[in-house]
Amino acid sequence: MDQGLTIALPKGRILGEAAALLGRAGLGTAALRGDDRRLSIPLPGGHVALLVKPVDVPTYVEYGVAQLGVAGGDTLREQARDLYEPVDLGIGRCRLVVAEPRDRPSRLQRGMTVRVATKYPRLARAHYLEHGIDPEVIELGGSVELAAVIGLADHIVDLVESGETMRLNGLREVETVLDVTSRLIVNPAAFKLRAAQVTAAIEAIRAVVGSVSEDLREVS
Amino acid sequence: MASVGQAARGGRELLPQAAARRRALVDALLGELSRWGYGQVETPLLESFDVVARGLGEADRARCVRFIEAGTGELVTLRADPTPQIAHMIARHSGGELGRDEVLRFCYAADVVRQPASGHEPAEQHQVGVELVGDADPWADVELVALAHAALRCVGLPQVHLDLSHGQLVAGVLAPLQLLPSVAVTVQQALARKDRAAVELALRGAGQSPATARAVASLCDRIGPPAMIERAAAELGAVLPAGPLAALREVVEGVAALGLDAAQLVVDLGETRGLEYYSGVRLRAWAPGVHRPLVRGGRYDHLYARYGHPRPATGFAIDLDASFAALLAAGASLASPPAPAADLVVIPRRADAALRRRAAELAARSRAAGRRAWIQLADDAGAAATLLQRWRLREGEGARATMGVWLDGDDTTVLEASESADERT
Repeated sequence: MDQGLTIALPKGRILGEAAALLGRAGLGTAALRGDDRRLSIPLPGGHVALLVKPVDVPTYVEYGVAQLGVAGGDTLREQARDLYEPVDLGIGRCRLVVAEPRDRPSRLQRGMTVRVATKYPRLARAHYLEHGIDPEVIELGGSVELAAVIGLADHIVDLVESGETMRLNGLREVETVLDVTSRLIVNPAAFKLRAAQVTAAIEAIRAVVGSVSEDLREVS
Repeated sequence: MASVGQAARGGRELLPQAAARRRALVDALLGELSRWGYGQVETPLLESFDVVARGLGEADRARCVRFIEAGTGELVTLRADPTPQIAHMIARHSGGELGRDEVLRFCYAADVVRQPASGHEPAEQHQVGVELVGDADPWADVELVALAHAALRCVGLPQVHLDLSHGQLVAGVLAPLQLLPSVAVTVQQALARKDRAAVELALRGAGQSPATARAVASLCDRIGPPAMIERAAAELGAVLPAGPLAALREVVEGVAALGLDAAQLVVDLGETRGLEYYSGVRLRAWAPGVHRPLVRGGRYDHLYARYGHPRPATGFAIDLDASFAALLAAGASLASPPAPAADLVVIPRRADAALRRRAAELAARSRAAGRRAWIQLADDAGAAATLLQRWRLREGEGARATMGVWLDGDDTTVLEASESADERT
């Protein structure tokens, strides 16, 4: 008999949706609550959930202390880790965008560099390099909008969901860098060592995600 | 006072016990490889970059630690992978010391240095590996799988999972579809993530039939015990390229015929990661509790042509740190082998030249008898006893039998370890 799976889940915004989705796939996460103070939570069915900071989910899964995890495409592309990402869960939908102050658009000029504030230095740099610009990237841990508002940076590269925060702070979207959704991630060693158990879990999650997109199609 | 300075760079430092453990592991592995007919070779630590680069893929080339050699102005690199070096070595000696058509079995123990791909990987890795050169028969691939299994078993890791895939299988599936390069890249990336929906979407978007798209996408899930190959062959039919499929089948059957437990074999038909290098069957070994493979290897028949001597070749490397991690995860005791029972520490009173000479004679006699013996000066009998006690405590159980001898004047006293010294520590 296989032991249960350990699943790393991101605390915060996505947790409710992710827990509901994996719960419907039979992983026992349905009753997980964001305000649970425990960090490692035994689940019905013998599985275990780890509630961790979203950017740390790939680390837990890469090192194999969790076999499965839920992580945003932004984090995964930024960290470029050795993981399988078998299912796009379609939740936590948002975009990584370039934005600038509405009243202070920065004209890109020859010989000028652009200062970019972001939590995603790797993705930001890659994006500008693709456009032939070598940016000066300032890495911040949060409140990235502020950097553009007070002139620390010309541009920011940050996540937007509705765009409301940006509008409120007088920022304007310039372009989209990446469309982001949350993905199921799987530790490669676990995939090989516990193939039957892991593929069964993936299949169940795919079935749930598939039925959700069917529902959406009917609604729209 | 000066600070202790920076942490060790590149790799971990090993104190005597850890170093002894690594050496024991290397010796055990090389011993087993030697019993299978593999002769040990050595390659230079410093190598012309051209030699290494010819044998590596783009990503691995970029990870070489390169510099310009003073004096010659040539681009050189630290040893990043012994395999291209051995290919170069064999090419240079072919027709000389090595026969042109001879099947060669070489093994090595080597430290390799690569720029880490991510921040948490060490730059230095310690490997023991083999090269089987000149044999294109699937039986050679079988030998390597069996050898990897035997080598790990002999160091206490019998329960590894051997993960088989084929370097040309996915390429063989995609080639007949004649995809645009950009689509092919998208499909490859989605396959690497095992994202079935994305593979299907990309192929449908490129005008492939739903049946084809679904069949190719199903490779994401074609991972499991060897029996999965037959199921895949039945369900996918001509989608799977015949050559790679037959090669995988032969290796699986050959390995099973050798009595290897089928439950330890995993076949992955959809694998594309890290396969650029391999022209045939690719082998990895995994163990519970270790996130990276213990063994990486496979067949690279195109490699030797790059050195002007086309020959089929296959090989693997065992990652020593990953193997240690697997031993720890399996609960193995990593105690170093017990020291020989009658170690001797000779402790003469300090500042007496005659005593030092006598101590040297005593130690020399003991060494000649095959024992470990060394000399340590002390100021009085009490200090000598403490010294012996500290040594025993530091070295653990194996050192309990270490004998201490105190030399003072004409007296030779065998030291008793004092209880109080035990408690002090």
